[in-house]
Order: sequence, then structure tokens, then C-alpha cells
Amino acid sequence: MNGSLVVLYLFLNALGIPPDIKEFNNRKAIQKAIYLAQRLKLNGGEKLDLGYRFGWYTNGPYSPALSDDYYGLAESLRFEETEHEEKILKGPFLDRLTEANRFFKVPVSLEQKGVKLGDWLELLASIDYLVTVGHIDQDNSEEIKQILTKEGKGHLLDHFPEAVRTLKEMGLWEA
Amino acid sequence: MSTNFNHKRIADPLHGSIGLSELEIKILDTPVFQRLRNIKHLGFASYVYPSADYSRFSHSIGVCHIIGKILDGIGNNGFKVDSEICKKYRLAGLLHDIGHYPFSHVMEKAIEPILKVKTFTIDRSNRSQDDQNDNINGFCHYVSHENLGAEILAHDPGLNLVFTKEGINGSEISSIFRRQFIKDEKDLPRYANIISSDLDADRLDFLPRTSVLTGLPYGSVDLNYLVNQFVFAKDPEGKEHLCLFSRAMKAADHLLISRYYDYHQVAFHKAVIGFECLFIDIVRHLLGENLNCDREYLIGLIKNSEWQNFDDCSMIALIREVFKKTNDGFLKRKIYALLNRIPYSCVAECEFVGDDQNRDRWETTFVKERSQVEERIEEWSEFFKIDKQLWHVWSKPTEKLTKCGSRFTYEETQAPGDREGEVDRLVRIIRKSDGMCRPIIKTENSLLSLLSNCRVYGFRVYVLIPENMDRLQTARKIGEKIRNDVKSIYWL
Repeated sequence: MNGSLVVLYLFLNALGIPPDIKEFNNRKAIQKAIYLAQRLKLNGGEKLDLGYRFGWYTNGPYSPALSDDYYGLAESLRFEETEHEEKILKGPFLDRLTEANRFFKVPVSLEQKGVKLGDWLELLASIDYLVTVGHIDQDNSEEIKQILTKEGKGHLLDHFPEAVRTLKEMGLWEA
Repeated sequence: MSTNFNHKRIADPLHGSIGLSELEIKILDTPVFQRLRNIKHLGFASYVYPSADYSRFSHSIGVCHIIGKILDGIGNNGFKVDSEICKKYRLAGLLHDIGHYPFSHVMEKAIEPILKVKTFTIDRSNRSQDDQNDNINGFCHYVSHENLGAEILAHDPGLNLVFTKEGINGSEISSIFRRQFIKDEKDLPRYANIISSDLDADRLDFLPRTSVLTGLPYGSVDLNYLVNQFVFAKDPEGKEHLCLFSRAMKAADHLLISRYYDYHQVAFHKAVIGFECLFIDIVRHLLGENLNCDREYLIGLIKNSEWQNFDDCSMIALIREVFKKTNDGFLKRKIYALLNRIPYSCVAECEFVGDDQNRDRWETTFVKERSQVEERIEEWSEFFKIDKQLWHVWSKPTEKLTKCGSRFTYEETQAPGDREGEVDRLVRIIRKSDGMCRPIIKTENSLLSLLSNCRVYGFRVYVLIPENMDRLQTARKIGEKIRNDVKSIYWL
């Protein structure tokens, strides 16, 4: 297992996201979780950047390089490679990700409605991408909702207020 | 006013005569673009195929040219292409490789894992290291060549001078080759597959160019036919795609299969990999001591117009310099080997093709066989008195024939809303009977519909045989011993 995959494994582990890619929703959860993790800041204000760059695809922010890596990681784990067991994340990264990992779960109220982790993280990541990369005014929630509907995410819009609240708690929504 | 793409013409061994606009010529003349003359497209392939030393410079001009041809073809097929789209896509093609490291992909293979590990991790066995992390910076030290390309378009003084004079938005151009745009924002995303897909201008240039310059037939694709076969059509769900007429199906099938053979005969050639292993070992030694590839340092080079000095020649000069100074015997031996064209010798090789219906079985076999070999390297290194630092077990990437099919089956993408980025990049063919397009891997009369469910598994044992031993004899003896000691493996 090469070093890039070791780091990806440790990040996912700290976020509580399993590196299981059999189901599409799990792959989507990995994509969106890493997107959101890269938007977090360390406690000293520094960015936390794994080096993945995201474009806008059918399911929101998506990085082909990350896709290469999680397929590579799954293969390495199947091939019983164990290099990830020899490393741990440096303290400040581990602390920040562990502290944030409560945001990488479906809120209980939505879980009861059957919302899956991949869909929930897709909503969070898509809203954030539209505001930060698409330069859509975050106060113009109608425009954001319109684009999300046009992009086939209308079924997630019921959870829009909850998503904005979560993004604020994560520190990703400017006051 | 439409752009004149015949401002100057450049002769090219693959395309004949290539026309370029005044703006494109200005970009060619910037130092940062001229640097690409000194970046070999195929890394160390020219150590095996002497004429395969073409550069990212000629390839980039070729990609720009092919994009123009494809867009002309789309126009001739009844779809009006806006002149601004043509201008921007040609520029994106010209600049898509601007951020490549020296020796192209092999250098990235060497630095990416090391820089990521250095940024984020410590050894589990040495947690006290963590107390010394007084300078935590969450920016990954590694930056990919695509992202370096975007940094160059944003910060290189020479390019920015041209962009400012000509009213070009550099980040818009880099967003095209990185596919970073919001859909429906503009008309730009509609054409994204021309520059990044299973059948894009990049492949349409490098496959035949490699074929011409290696003297191998594998990448000899039907270029001039294919560039005229692109159109837009809807899939059965009503979504529009850039696709090919049904008559181009065989040519597309052939290209995808050609790519497979090109990779296996050139990029994965046993001696080319032998040189890559050497280079990667050397770069890993140099990182942090003689070589700085940290993101912020590289961006500094770009801003100070020094990036153009970071090329294949500067890497070889650095390696020569280190050779004179180092007291590390293994490093010295590896540098000597690289500079004198002595690769790691491939002493044993195992390879088989497995179908995805039985993937678990093939993977278990592969893991078991490779482990059997890895576990005995120490024993063999002692037997032949060749230090284990000079042995490598190299695994062949288990990719399939298409970008999509290499990672998951097409069926996995068919649940409602269940699509990923790669699906957007599939080659699609129009079916004559209903006028709708479908992925080539789901087209009944394509070979790819069968082959996309297969993948190659393989590994090789490499040894850098010391100068005081007869290379051929020793390699033969080691190979015989490995094959005798592990008889259960189907060795080639």
C-alpha cells in the first residue's frame, strides 16, 4: 500500500467512514466526506488539504483522483497489505478529525426517515461547493435550491435547513 | 470575429502540418511552455525504444490540433460550435500538460506517497515524534501535475502577460482540463469529453505518436476517421452526451484495445519498469535532502519564473551531482546504473487474465502467489549474496480496458441517481435503430462489451545485479531458482 493510500485510510478511519466501496452510496459517502474534511480548518486556522481537487458531476463534488485512490485502497486491503498499521495521523490532524466526525453521520431525525449517509453528505458537500466554487450567494437559498433541483437533487431539499445548520456548526458557513 | 488558426504552421511527424493562431503561438513562445521541450512524454521508454523520446511540447501541440479537428467535425455533422468554445478548448489542449513534473508520471509516482506521509503521519512505533510537530501545516506537500498546471496558469508571469493582453481567463482554461465547472453554468461542460474521457484528444495524439516513434504498431488508431465522427445525442434517459456515430464503433473499439496493448508493450515493458524502479528509488533518496518538491516551494518557483528550469535535464544534472558527493553505497550503485542504462533485471514474471465473475478467486490467487514470493526474497538475497535493497516485487496495475469499467461494472451505475464521474467519460455510440447513444461497453457488437469484464493480474521480480557479476548469467540463475523454489506459480 503506497503512502497516499495509507493517509486516505487514516483520514477515513478518523472520520468514522468505512473504506467499503461495494455499494455506490458508500463510495459517494467517501467522496463527499473527503471533500468536506478538506474544507475543515485546524484549530490554529490552517487548512487541511489532502491534495484532492473536486469538479462538479451528477452527484455533486467529485474527484477522479480520489476515486482512483479508494479503489486502490480497497484493492490493497483485499491484497492484505498492512502498511497502514505502521502509521498514525499526527496529533493535530487526528484531534481535528475526531472532533469533527460527529458531522459525518446522518442526524438521528433524518436517519429515522431513511436518509443514507452518502445522500446526506452529498447535500452538505453540494451546497458548500455551490457557495464556495460556484460563487452563489449563500444568503440566496432559493438560487441554491433551484440549482440543486436542476441537478437532480430535489429529493434532498426537504433537509436543506438541517444541512445549512450543520454547515454552520462545522464552521463552513460564513456568519 | 472568428480566430485565424493558420497564423503559423508547424510540421509534425504524426499530423503533417499543424495550423496555430497568433495567440497560440504567443503561448508557445513563453518560457514555461518551452520548458515542455525538456519533459519526455514517456519517461524512460526511450531507454528501450530509442526514438520514443518525444516531448510534452510536441504532444501538447498535437492535442490542440486534434481538438480543433474534432470541433470542426462536430460542426460539419450539423452542430454549430461557438468560436469562443473552439478557442478555449484548443488553449486547454495546448496547456493541459503544462504542470508535468520532470520525466512525467514516474516522478509523481515517486514523490506523492512520500510527501503525503510526511505531511500527515508519524510512525506508530514512535509517537514521541508527535511532540516535535511544532510546524503543522495542513496543506499537503504534494501537488498533482493537473493542479500544478492550474497554479501555472494562475501565477506564471509570462503566461499572465499574454493572458492579460488577450483577455484570457487562465482559471477558466484550467477548469476545462480539470473538468472543474458547474454544469449548465455555460456551454463549456458540454464538450468536456473531448479533453478528458476514454476517447479524448489526449489519447488520440499519444497513442499514434507513440506508435510512430517507437516503431511499434499497437497504438496505430484510425485517427483521421475518428475525429470526424463526433456528434451529440441523447441516451434512453434523455440525457445528452458527446458520442460517436454507429459507423465509428469498430474504430473506437480498436482504440480502446490499442491502448491496452500500448500500455503493456511500452509503459509496462520489463526494462522500462526496471528503469522506473531505479529512478523512483533515487528520487526518494533525494527528497528532503537535495530535492524539494513541496507544494509551496514549487508555487514559489512558478511565481519567480524559475519553474521553467525544473525539467528532465535539471533532474539528471542533480543526480550526477549527488553521484559525485554521496557516500551511500546503494544510492551510488543505483545512480551509476541509471546513468549507464543498466536497469533492474526482470528475473521472473507471472501474469494471468481473470474475469470479474470470478474476481474473488483471481484476487485470492494473485495475493497468495505474490506473498509466496515476497516472503522468500530475503532467503534468495542471502543465497545469491545480493542485498535485499536491490530486489523489487513489482505488481502490474490491475486496470481494465476502460476508465469506467476498470473500477466498477456498468450495472452498478444504473440504479436511479447512481452515477459517478467516470460514467460521464464513457465512449458512447449511437444506435442506428433508435438514434440514441449507449456506452460502448454495453453495445452488443463491441469486443469491449466482453473485455471490459476482464482484467490482467501480474507481478515481476526485479534485481539490480551488482557490476562484479555477469548480469545475464546471474539473472538466468536467479530466475531458475525462483521458478524451482515456487513451483505452484504459473511462471511466464
